[in-house]
Amino acid sequence: MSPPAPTPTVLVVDDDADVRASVAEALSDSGFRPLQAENGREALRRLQEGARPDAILLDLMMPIMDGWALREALLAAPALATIPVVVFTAHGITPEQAAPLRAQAVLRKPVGLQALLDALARVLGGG
Amino acid sequence: MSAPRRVFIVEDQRLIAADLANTLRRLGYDVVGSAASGEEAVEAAPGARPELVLMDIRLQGPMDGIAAAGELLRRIDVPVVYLTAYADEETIRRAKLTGPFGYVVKPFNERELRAGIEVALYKHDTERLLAEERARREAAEEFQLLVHSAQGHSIIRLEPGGRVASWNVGAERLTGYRAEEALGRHVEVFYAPEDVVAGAPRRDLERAAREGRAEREGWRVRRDGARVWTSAALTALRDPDGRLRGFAEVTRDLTERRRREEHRQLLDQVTLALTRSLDDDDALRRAADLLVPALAGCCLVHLVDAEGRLARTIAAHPDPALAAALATTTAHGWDADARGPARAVRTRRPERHPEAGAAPDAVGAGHAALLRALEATAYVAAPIATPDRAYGALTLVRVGPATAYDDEELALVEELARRAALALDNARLYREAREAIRARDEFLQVASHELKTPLTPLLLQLDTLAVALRRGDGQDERLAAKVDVAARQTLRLDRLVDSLLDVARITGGRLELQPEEADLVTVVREVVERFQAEARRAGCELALRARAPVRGRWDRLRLEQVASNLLSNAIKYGQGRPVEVAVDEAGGVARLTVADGGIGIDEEGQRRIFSRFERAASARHYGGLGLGLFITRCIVEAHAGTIAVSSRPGEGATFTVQLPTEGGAA
Repeated sequence: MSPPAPTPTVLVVDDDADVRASVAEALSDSGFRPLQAENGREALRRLQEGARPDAILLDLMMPIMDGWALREALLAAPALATIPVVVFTAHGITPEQAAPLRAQAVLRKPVGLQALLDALARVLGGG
Repeated sequence: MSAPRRVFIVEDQRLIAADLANTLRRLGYDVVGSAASGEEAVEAAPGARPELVLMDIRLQGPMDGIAAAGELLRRIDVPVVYLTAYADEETIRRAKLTGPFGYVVKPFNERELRAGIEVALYKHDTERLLAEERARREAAEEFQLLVHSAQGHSIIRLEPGGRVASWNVGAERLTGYRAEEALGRHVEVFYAPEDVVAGAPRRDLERAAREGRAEREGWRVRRDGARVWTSAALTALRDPDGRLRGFAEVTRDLTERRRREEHRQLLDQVTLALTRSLDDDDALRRAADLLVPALAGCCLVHLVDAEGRLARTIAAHPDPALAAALATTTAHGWDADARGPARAVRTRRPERHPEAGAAPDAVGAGHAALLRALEATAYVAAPIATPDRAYGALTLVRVGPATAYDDEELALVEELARRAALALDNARLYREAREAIRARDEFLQVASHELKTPLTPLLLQLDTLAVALRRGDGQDERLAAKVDVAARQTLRLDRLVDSLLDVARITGGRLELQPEEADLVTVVREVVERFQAEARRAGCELALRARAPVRGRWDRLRLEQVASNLLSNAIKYGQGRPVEVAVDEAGGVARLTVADGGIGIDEEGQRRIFSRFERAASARHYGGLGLGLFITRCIVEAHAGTIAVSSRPGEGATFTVQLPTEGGAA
């Protein structure tokens, strides 16, 4: 439940402002430093500008650049490919469908706080 | 030296008869019998098979020699020579009526007797030979007439070397050669060139000479170059001493029969090709390829655009380069012409050039230049259309010297086009249905996303709030409990959204599974863990019994749903009594049972609970959409499994799900 010290950074990529804000607030309350991006391109820009989050919480269905495209871009960039990714989607997605994303965890929306924190702890602990 | 001639004697005076017999034997005749009366002669002579009868006119008894001769001649053909001492006018008149071959007047000497017999034998022999010859000639003439006038069969005679020696009307019809053109030609002229090259005519003649008969079914070539499918039988003709005199050849024209069979086969093949592929162009190309060269030198399928104009062409031609050229250039060329495929599409009636019976020629001015360049001589174009919709036209083009399309071929092409239209119609309906399913699935995806997105911040906000409240001074415990309820209801709303979307999916078509290797025990254990909190709230003890992993190929998420639905029902209707979950396997069948000790279900309820919107318990006391067990059943059945319930009111219910571990989910 308690995150690894000092303060892990999590990039939240979701096109829904309320989702972003809620997740950011919940993470903030739980000892994380949240960063936000409203689509894949925005997230990629921040990463290219030097942001290095400890994990990325990634929605799949987004305008402009969706989660699949962002993940593809991340995997293609050696500096970014190693950042753990937690996929966070409203669609049911099977392990087979999720395989190409090479995500460290897959969460299905809506997700409760505990499930979210558990997944991040697992991802960061292993990373 | 020929055998002695056989003589029968009719003489009533025994001494004379014996003397006569001796004399005859001395003269070299064979006396095969004798009779002393007319009656006896009529009785005995036929069995003795005489070549001549010596008949005394005056005989004892009611039947004299003349009467006996008349009677005898009715039975056998034999010359009768009368022996008589004298003859009155009346006797001679009567004797003449029996057509006697001679008279020997008594008393006679040996020379006179012999002369009488020999003249009679000679006369009789000659008459018989003449009669036989006449009969033979008449039969031969009749047969000649029959053979000559036979129209359905070619019946010809060949010299031993194979040259035509006789010719009938049927042969003229079959080959197109008149008798004066055919006589003297070698029979190989009528064979197909490839058969001549292969030595077939010579082999047929040799075989007929060797075995007496040779048969062949194959192509013959007419005088005008057209081919005729025939069945021919060649029979060797031999002299009585076995020398080969020649051959008789009887040939039947089977072209029509063969053509009808070929047309039927072609229709079957094309229908198969049309239905085998759902890609229109691919199906039509396969079909067109089948029609060349069977029915045409080249085959064109024109397809219309939305305005009904010829827009695209699929072409089949033995030369791929020409086929490609035809596909790119014909459409507008034909369109410019008043006739042809464009008009067939417009009028929904077939087009034919030239008309049946007219001599084919180069397809004239106004037709596509490329077709002229191909030396097209005839074509038929049939509309590819159903009553509701025109798709295009099927056009078959004869190339080079060939005949015009006849009525039978026109009917075949129309039928082929009709089947093409049906195939295109089916493919279109299939595409439309698939598109409708795709649109529905897309809508469900979007709906799912849109309905669930607001639940995410809602749930997180509530959870965060609950944490914050608990972190406080404890005064807010009541408030925290209320927030927990709100969070739980949010999750319930999430499940209801899932249920509605599932039902929409199931109702619209088959539930699609994503099978993977899974352990049912692991899946169920995770669900049981998840339900522990809810069970505690309901005061239920929730236990899982499983000895070993139960592996199979299943859709893991859907099995989670099955377990969740059954557990949530067991807790909901369990009246706080223990809920037992068990997973085991026997004989390739995995079994999940969920047993509660709750309100139970009556028989009538048991029949309904797996249907949509049904529930056994009263809706007033228990909430829910009544979709859970319906969805559960659909998931189980999509895995080729079964679900059953056993229950009695007030004594709880046990649900049993059975799933094949192998090959269930496709």
